[in-house]
Amino acid sequence: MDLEIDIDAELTLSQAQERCRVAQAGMYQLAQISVGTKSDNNKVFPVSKAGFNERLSGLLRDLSFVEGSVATKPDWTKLFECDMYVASHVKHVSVFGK
Amino acid sequence: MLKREKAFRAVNHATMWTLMVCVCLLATSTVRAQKKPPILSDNDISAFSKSEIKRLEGIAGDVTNPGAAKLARNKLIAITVEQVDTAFNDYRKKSRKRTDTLNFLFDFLEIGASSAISIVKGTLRAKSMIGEGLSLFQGSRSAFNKDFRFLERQILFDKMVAKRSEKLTAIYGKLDQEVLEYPWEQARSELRDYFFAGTIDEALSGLSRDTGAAAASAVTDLAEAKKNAGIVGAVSSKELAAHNAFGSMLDPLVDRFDAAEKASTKADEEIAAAQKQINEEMQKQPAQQDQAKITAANTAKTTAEGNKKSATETEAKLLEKMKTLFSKVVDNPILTPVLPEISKGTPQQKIGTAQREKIEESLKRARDNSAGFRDYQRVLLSLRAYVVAIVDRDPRPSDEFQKVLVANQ
Repeated sequence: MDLEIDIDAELTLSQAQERCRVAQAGMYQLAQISVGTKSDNNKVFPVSKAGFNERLSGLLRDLSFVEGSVATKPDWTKLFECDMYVASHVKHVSVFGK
Repeated sequence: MLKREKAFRAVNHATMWTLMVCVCLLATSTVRAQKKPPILSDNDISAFSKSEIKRLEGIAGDVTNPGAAKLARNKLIAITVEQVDTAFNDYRKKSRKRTDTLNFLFDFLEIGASSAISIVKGTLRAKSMIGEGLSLFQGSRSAFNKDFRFLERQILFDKMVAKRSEKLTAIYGKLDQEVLEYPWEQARSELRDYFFAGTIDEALSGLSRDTGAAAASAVTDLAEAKKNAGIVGAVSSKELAAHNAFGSMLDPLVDRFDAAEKASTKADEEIAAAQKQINEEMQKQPAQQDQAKITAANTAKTTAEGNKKSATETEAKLLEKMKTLFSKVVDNPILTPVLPEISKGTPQQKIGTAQREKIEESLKRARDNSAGFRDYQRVLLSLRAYVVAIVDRDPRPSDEFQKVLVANQ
């Protein structure tokens, strides 16, 4: 992955979506999300690990996270499905880009 | 049958007698503390002499004799403290006695009812009724505990003692001040606060405030620990504003270049297709050549070449634009030290090794003036990502970069 961020497990679905949209920064395309942990100073925190790849042309800047397994969404391109933390609970999420 | 009735009556009488003895005990028994010395009697102290208080207030208000006024004010403070303490201790004693009495009564009734179920010689209905009574006592006790906060009383009294001590320390710290600096009226106001510090309402309010402050502190500590661990939270309003501002200025440049690049590629394909058709026709015998096809292919080729030229010009213009932006960034005293950092990312943004090398390579080419549009794009958008990521702790690079973009729109 060209860029990775660890997202706080307490974030809601829309907050996580907004975080990934801002992290794309006009040059990275969100490619995957997985559940994991992050430790520091003997403290362990649950996180959603988001991975991005550089995409300088044809970037899908806008993102839409939908809870559950959703095949299509009008006017949106499906990027992937993943398990991630939503408000501290692991949920299955479909990710779309536009 | 008569004997059994007599026995039953005897049990009833015994129960009644025991109950009466207990009621008498409750009414007469107190938890006795040491006897108070006469000087500390609550009944006959100067604090309750209105005329004496009036006289002292008069002296305390006389600023022409500061020594006497200070002494009178301090006497008034001591009297008020004594009154407040008497009221507080009396309330605490009564509250404890009432709680102890009620607890004893509930214990007695519960034990009595439990024993009565075993002792009583009656029908199942009678035992069931006593059982219901027992449930009633137990339910009442838990309701009392809950509604009158019996179990929280000690915590509240501890809170009151702490708050009272805090207020009194502050008042005693001002006893050395002259009456002009610390007049009796101000002391009286603070003594009123001292009195309220010994009330249940104030203790509850203080407890709630302290708990809230502790909770807020714990939340801050957790957020700090997460930040130190490199975990990102929700997007802040500053981050969002900066992200959107950069998006409105940089994204159209990239979109225009993408469109020009696509148009250029399409023109190349059209030129190649037209050329192929022309070549095919030209390879035929002159009599078999379709002039109309050749003409149409030539026209298509000319149009495609025009489109290609236009796309190339747009690409060149956009490249110049990016070059200008980069040079302005390099000239900016706040942005130029940031440039070497953009490939490293932030503790919250981990840039992969390959990507880091790509950014550094593009940055080098941009500095050497040998970069293409995509190099400049990579550098300027990496700068954007970096300044947005740090905007909450240092907004200056973001502000400066936005100024550069606005000035060169």
